[in-house]
Amino acid sequence: MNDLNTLPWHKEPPLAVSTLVGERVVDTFNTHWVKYMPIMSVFVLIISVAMLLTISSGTNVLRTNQLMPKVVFLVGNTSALLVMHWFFHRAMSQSLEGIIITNRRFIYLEAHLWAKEEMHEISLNQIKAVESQKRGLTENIFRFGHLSFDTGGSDMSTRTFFRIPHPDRKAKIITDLLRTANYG
Amino acid sequence: MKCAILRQLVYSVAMLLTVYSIVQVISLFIFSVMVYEFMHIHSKRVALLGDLEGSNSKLLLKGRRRMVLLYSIFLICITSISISQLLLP
Repeated sequence: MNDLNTLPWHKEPPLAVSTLVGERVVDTFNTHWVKYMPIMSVFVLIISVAMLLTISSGTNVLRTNQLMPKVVFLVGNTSALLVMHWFFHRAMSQSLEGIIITNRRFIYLEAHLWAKEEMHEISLNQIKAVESQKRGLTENIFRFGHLSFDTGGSDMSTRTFFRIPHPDRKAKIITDLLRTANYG
Repeated sequence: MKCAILRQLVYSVAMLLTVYSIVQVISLFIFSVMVYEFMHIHSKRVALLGDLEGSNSKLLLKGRRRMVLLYSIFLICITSISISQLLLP
């Protein structure tokens, strides 16, 4: 963490957050790694085809007089680079999803490189109920699921967060915090 | 006749190298800006977690170096394979 302090952009103000009096971090975690699986599958499939195209153009592309190997080489190489950048853009964006639970609030951080950067915050005194769900085989095998907060009021007041690792444990942490702070 | 074939070969090689170089430069540029933005957001997370003191706040920041390293390795591998396709006899 110290190396980041020397970077020129470190002096910028952080995301819009103001520390509350007596606030302390209880838990921090990233969303479940299963989020990488769909993009990983597409990446492996397309990069295999692209690399096959590049290699099938044959070695010594420069010395051949035919046009086709050159075109195949360029198409293969460009596709491989494009899909690699696409994959890492998505993967790096998804790796920036994170959750911070403090004794005062629940913070969900979300970012999409060069597109969006969001911070959703739910104060614990707004939460009426916490619900954890693990549905289906995949979620039960890999132990992840949804975490929903009922903040009271209208039908639109339920906030749901997806791909939470061990949602039951996280729900228990929040419930304990609510009980301790006498919010619930 | 030979001269025309040679000229055509030189022309096609020049075209290939030009397009290849442009693609590589653009690729390197995309790599730089993505890593820059990634590190930028991470540094903001460091500052955010610095404000919210906690014992296990480093958990949110793990995997940053691994991701950039993996990205660099992929870029180097793809570039190496393409260069070897171009140059190796």
